[in-house]
Amino acid sequence: MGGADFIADSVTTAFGLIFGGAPGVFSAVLVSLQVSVTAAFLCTVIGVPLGFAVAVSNFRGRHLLITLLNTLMALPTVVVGLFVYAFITRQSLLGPLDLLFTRKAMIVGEVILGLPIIIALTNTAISALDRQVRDTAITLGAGRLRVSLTMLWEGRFGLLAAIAATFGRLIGEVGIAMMLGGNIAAHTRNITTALALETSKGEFSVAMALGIVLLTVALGVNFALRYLQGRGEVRP
Amino acid sequence: MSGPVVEITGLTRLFGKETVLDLPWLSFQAGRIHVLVGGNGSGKTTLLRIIAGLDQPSTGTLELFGHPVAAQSRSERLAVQRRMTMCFQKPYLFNASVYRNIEYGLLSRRLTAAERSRRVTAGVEALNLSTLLTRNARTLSAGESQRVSLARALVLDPELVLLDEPIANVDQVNKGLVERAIGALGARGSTVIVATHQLDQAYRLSAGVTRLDRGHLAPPALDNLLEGEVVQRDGTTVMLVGDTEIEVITSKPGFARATVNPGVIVLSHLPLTSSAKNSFCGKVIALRERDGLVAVTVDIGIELVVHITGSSLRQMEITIGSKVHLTFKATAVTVF
Amino acid sequence: MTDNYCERPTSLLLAGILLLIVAAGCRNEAAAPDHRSELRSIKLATTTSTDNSGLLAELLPPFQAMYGIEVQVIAVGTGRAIKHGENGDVDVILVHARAAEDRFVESGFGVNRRDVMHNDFVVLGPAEDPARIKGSADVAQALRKLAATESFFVSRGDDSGTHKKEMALWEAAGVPPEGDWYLPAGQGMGAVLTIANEKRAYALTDRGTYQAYRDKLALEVLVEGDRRLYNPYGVIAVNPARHSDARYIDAMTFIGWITSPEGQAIIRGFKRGGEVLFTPDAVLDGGAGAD
Repeated sequence: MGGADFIADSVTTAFGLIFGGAPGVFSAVLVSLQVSVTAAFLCTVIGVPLGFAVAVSNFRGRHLLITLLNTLMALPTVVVGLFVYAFITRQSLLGPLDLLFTRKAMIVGEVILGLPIIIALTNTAISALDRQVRDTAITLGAGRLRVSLTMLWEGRFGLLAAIAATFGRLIGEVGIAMMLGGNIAAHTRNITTALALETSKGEFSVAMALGIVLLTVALGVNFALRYLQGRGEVRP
Repeated sequence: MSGPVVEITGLTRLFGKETVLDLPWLSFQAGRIHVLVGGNGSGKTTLLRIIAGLDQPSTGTLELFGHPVAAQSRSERLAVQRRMTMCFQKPYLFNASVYRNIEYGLLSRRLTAAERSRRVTAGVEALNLSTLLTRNARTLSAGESQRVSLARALVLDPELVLLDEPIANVDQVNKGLVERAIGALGARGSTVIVATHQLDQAYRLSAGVTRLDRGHLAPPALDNLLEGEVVQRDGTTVMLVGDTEIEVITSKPGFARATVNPGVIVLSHLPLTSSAKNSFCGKVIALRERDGLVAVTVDIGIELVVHITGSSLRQMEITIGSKVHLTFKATAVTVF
Repeated sequence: MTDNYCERPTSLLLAGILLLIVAAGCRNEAAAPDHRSELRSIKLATTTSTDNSGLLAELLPPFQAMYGIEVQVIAVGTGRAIKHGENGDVDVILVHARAAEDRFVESGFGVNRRDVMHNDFVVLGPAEDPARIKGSADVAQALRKLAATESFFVSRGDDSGTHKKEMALWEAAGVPPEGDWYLPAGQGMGAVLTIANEKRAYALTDRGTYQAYRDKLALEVLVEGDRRLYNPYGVIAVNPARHSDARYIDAMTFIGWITSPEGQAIIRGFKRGGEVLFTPDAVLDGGAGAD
């Protein structure tokens, strides 16, 4: 069948999946959200302060660190998956924690994947701030914490972009989810691993439909992020 | 407080190999308006930044409010920081409403919401900003931004205010407003240090003008600085400097500062009859050689310096104690 | 500083929703329970072809209903399934690679290996059959012909049971599978069949997967029945002496069940496209009811 047929077929299947509420699809969406939103949240909480620290610091190896972070952004997801697997497989250090093939393991892997992204992009966002933000806050008597918060607030557009980029990377990845989750139906099967499964079964239309579902979900989360950030603010 | 608010000793600032500031000694008394005058590259911005705590000197000491800053702990420095503030040449306004910008500094001080609101309102009125309150501060023009920046500083009621070119970008209509606001700060007892490149603006603000030239203290720009009241007398405009009345040309009554160029004052033994209305007699109290000319200081009730050539000095046989007459036109007086 | 941010109710609502989703992930909601100790469950590593055949979807629910043990299926390549068994990541494995299974048990990684069922492999190819292997009773000879005519052949290339079988057959044929006509895809059976279909190439597949994909393929069964194409499945429990955390008892219950007359009956009755896919091996005679 031609490309147009394929797309049309996929879109129809997608609507059928979304509104027909096939239970497998619903649970896959939920797993995707639970894992990726949690992982993105953790990345933000850990990564933004670290990225901020890198941006305002001035130590010797700073440029080297930034180069390293940028390099880590190219980490293939399967590599991250293997790396974490080595630590949580039964006979390893964290084996007794019984993490392999759980959503928790998927979250751990995705946090590792996302941290370099959020740190590097936060550093960029804060570094791009006018130097005077800090000077102005200081001369108006702000203490250290307030100065930092003010810089974060002034840099919020860049920060939002960083969070959105990180989330997008996480919800769309499949290597970690597959390796650490095991694609177990109803437990660790998320949209991307379900997509991979359907593709491997030759069910291309279903796979494409799942892709459309994924994009819709990601769109929803991004809209929520944008809305939280605020409307009608003038961009610097 | 008594004593200087800012005292600088042996201060230098180097950027790489370039010496941007070299000040053996400089102090600013409390409760007055001081002006730093100099062109681009004179170091005035760097000096203000060092005083504000945004930059560190390469050598030398800085004392603020009587205490050296180098030895202070972080909390002590923060306390000092909250007694002063600075407005920048190109101010950065936060990405929020004008109201929030003006309120920002107050949030770090322990004040009630009512008190904050009261102060913000006062600052807004003083700088004619009431129509801009809800606008996002980043959409304002350069002049409007400058006024918001000033209001931001005013509401803090700081003991020490540092202003870097506060009037440069302000539109004509509001220039007077800003100068008055700065004057009001001085009147309230704050110490104000203003940096500007415009000499007349400097003298409008204060008699205490320090000149910087490429990081060094330069000799004062003016020999004859006059301060007094400008009044109308029988159709002529006269400036009262102490007991001396000097005829001037100006349209603004009230307190003013003025200067007379030492090179245009005519020195004579006998009074001259001429169109020049300012004619005084007095006694020579000092003679100094300077750049091939002689600077003659004459006491006519106030002290004026006149420049004459060495040969004139000899021909006229002028010495200390000589009784002389000084004559200059009303137009020779520059009123700031 | 944050104009009206906290005063906007919708913002709080959205933040709340996002937080709820995150929180739900930590507890055991909508998706099935995540933490092992909350429900009795075991992890089974098996091959993608076994999972794709659909047999497990028939076999596992009755087991769970009867014993209250959930079987979580991790479907990967044979090599990886066995690896997970060695590492103790799972409690039981179900694969079809006899030599590897024997090594698994001999090395002490697994215990109590039992035959479960078998199906057979078939050689698929395009209807026009350029290599003329249709109807051949000797699979080794058929492969020699493929090599000689340099007809396109798509292989699993992933160390799976199917792949190991294929390699053994090439060895039996005495022909090295090399050349531009030989295409190792490194993917699962379904993907390989799709590629073969696209390229009108030959491929070796288990009958079960063939049945599942039949309507999507323009390929036909060309060689079948050779006893070397026989594909036995074995189930092995992970050795509890090796991995003390392995759920040995529950794994044995599972093994016991799929080799019991009931389990075997389900296997015998499982059909796809009107054809039976697997022949049960555990209970050889008719068997007299459950025990």
